[in-house]
Amino acid sequence: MNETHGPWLRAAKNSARYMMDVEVALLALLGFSFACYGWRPVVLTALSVLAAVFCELLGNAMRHQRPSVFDGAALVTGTTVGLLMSPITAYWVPVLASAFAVVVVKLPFGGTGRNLFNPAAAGMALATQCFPTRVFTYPDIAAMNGELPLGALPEGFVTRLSPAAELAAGAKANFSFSDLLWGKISGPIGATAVLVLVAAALFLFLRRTASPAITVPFLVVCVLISVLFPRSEEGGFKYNMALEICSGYLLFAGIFMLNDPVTSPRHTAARIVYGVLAGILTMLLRHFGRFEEGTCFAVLLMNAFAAPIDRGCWYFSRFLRERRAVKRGERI
Amino acid sequence: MKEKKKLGLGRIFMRTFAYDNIVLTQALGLCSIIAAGVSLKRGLALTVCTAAVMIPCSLLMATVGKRLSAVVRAPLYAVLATALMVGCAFLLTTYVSPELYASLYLFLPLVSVNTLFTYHAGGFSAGRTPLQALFDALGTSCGFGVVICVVSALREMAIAGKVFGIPLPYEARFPEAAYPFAAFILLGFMAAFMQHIRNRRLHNENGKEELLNE
Repeated sequence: MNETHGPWLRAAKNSARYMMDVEVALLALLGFSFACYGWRPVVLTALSVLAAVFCELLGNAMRHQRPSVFDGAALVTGTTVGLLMSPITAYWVPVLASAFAVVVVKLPFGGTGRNLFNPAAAGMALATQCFPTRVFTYPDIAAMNGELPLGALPEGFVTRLSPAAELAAGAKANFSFSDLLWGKISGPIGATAVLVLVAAALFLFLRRTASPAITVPFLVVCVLISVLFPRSEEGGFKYNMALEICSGYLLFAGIFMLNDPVTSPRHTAARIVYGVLAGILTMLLRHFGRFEEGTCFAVLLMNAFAAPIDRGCWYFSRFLRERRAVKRGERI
Repeated sequence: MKEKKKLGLGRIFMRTFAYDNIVLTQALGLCSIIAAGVSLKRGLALTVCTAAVMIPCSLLMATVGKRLSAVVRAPLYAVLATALMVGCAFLLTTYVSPELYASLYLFLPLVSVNTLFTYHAGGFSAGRTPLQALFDALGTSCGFGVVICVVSALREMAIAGKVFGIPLPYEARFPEAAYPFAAFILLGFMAAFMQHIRNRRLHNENGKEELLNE
């Protein structure tokens, strides 16, 4: 049996470099959250990472393998789960979610490089499905004085609906453009800082760690759908569009989760199809889903279709190449 | 045919019960486990009904199945299974518990037309001796029963902290285990475990022959 395993990358020699790039981008997001909320988001994320790494080590021990935590995949999974949590969620929620991600979604399939689904998306899907109130209760960043307490929340702590929840309810959202841009909105730990997210995306594109062929079609489709089928009539289509893009996990998932090298297609055309379909699914789940944010489910569904899309595009491009060659009169 | 006759009764039972478990290796009969397997009582009721329908059907198919064409076999089997199911449902409501029957609403009738039975009663039993068919049906019912009982007991423990209605001494509750995904994950792990056992048997020569002679 061939013992080399993925993620198989063309640009990089090993997956540790990829993971380090992603980790740097994720830590930048965590830094933003630290500036806003203090130590609590950092502790949440650290616990999530610890849970993921511990479960991975446990799985390695059970399978008599060498520890596989040094490739950084468990680190990225744990950080991603932690960053998508609410800053005021209980400490056990990210721990449970990332343990589930590693134990149920990653290790049984053979560990890093062989997992069919994005572990972090699956962990978040579990948390969303099981504890929606804990995941979707966010602090009001405008009414906050000082940092979040590390222990129990004080009486009368002010929470606020996130823009995603307000859009889902169809109400007029009360966030200004600058609030959206500067991340002064209620939301997950690492998914509100739009400017940092854009910078992270550019960094990952330049390092060739993420592919614009997935992210850009995904975002374009999301923008198109939010313009064509606005969920809130008030505020004008521009505002509605900005709200739709900046709220929830949309940008975060488009940059980090869909670009996971293990679960996304490799062919460029397949990547575009993948991004477009993921955008359609995300917006469908937002319009008709049970929760305010269904991006995780969209990512998981698309993961299931990544391989068929990849193979289909591969065969189609070969078919076109061959037909062109026949037209030119060449022999194949 | 020679190979089929070589199969002993114990082997037939063990094969359908474990190595070739219909739920874990062929993924048949999942709907009742996923939707109805949320408490051990329901799991047991479904197991008993399954056996009550499966065994007579298999016996009938073993005795007359060979003389009938495949076109007639399926409807005959389905009618018989439905008739038996009506009897089971009647017994369950009058003598056991109407609430239990009500809680199983759709899944009890579904048993009679479950793929699980059509597959075995129609496929295996025709052309076997009645004794072989009996052991095959027993093995299949027990295999199905063990899986549904394990899944439903675990889910009942998670949802209500009870097993068979008896409270257990812990406080943790996880009501989300009633969702289908919990059952799918449990079944996935059980199937992986069964695959592990099959792989180990494939390495051992006797077991290999047994697995491949199907």
